[in-house]
Amino acid sequence: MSYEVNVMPRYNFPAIFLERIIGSDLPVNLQALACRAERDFEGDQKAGITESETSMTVPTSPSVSLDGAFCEKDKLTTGDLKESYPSSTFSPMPPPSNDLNNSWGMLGKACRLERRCMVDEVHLRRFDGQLVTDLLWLLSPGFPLPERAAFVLAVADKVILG
Amino acid sequence: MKENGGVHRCVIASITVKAPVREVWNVLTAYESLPE
Repeated sequence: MSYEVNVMPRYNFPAIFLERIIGSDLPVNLQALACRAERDFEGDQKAGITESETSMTVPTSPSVSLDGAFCEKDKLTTGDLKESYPSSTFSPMPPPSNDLNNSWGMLGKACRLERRCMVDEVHLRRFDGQLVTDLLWLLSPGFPLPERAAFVLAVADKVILG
Repeated sequence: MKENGGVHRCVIASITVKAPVREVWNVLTAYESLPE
């Protein structure tokens, strides 16, 4: 699976920061994706087994070991994020606010599967939390962790407004 | 992350998911659940 995303900022924005944000978030988002998919699949498997036992039917599908080997989501901490940018001069991460969480509104911006996504009109247009939302959305597929989003917000604020 | 000519950047990442493709696709397209 490959994505081609065109970003056409209307204002000057150092590419190096975009590169760092994307470079650090992409692995996290992939891990979150894997974690969610494996968890859902495991749930389906258990449900199937329970159903089979109830109906006294022997499951014929091969067993799958799901130990959550790729589920790193819960291991990510603020410290991990800071370690990713040891020489940064960014301000400490603010706690994720409800407003930020609520503004993670992919709703209404979600890509339609039946047509090409036009994300280049959305990103880098606003110099506030929406930028982070859009950046993280740009990095989808994945699930922006609140801590990471807050950190990116701090980065963005520093870069753009500082 | 590497330069791919001019302003273009190329980033490649991979991961092994122990789940069917359908399950992964369901997660990818569950837009309303992305913030979770």
